[in-house]
Amino acid sequence: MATYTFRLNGRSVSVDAWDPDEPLLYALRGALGVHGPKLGCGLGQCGACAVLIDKQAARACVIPVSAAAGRHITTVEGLGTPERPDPVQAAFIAEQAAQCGYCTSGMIIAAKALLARTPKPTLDQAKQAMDGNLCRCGAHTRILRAVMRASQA
Amino acid sequence: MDIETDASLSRRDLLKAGGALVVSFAFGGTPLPARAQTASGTGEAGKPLDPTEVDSFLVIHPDGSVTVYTGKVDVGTGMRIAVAQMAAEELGVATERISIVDGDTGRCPNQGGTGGSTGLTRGGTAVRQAAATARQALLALGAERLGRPVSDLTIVNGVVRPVAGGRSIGIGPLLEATKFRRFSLKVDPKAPLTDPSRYTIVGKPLPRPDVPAKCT
Repeated sequence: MATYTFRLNGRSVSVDAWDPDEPLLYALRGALGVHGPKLGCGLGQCGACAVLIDKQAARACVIPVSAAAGRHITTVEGLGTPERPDPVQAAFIAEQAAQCGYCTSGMIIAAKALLARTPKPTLDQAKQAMDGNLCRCGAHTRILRAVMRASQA
Repeated sequence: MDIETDASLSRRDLLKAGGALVVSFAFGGTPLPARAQTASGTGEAGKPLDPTEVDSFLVIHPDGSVTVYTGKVDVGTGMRIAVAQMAAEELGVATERISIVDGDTGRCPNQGGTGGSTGLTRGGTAVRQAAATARQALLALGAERLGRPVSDLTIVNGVVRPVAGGRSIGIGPLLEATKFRRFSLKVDPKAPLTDPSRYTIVGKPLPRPDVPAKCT
């Protein structure tokens, strides 16, 4: 069994996996007990599992744990807390941009990645960037408002 | 292995509980809502679960804060804050002083499934009627303690006080006069409800308590 070491939300962690192709998401939610990223489609198509690898948003359900080795992984837990939210989280809370909450972690990660490369997006750019993150409750309008609010913070 | 062991144990426990269930029905006569496994049919420290009882829906704590229990579940619809507002309006308590326990079958009255827009229309209205019944009881208790007729009194921010001002008492301390700090009252379907034209809490958009945790 191989051991993979990477940084998770600022601290060094190691996980054992029999299969180097085990999805990073399983390691995060299982062995590491980090439950922000969600298993949605399992095919990299809905964005519920999104995490930051270094500064880029990635789909943890299709990224193998072996690919995380040596990288910096950030989940929504690594951004802030309810008491001290990160600016993007604060914008989502201010806009009440969550209903059931299943997509929210991935939405925040996608917004975080967008704002890292385009700090002042237009609404169209925000729509494009968030296009691959699905919300079945229908909170997209509030989510876009939150992204725009965060860009102005 | 562990999981299998646990599963077989819980099956056995379930059979035992099932045996007890038959016995309790045989002697008790009445079917119990929710927690039918326990002989008493009560939840948390003997709190009733019967949806016809005021105490099934709300508990008023010594500090005047309130816990509302509802069998309907908030799955991101904002039902928690809406139900808190409905209860706050009828009780005369600030919304921030109300916390919600939703969908825990061991603690909440069985109000049926959550769906088909029944969360507030049936679930919320049941809480509202229970709170309205509790309000009448609180006013009666206040009248006794303050030596004034009920018609002189109102409840504002969790305090029973004369409309014209004067000596007042918090709803938390008022419950000390009752057995186990409970109302021991049936929900009165005729308990007067606040007229919507006089709402000060219901209808205001308030932040949902579940959102910060979902974003972090």
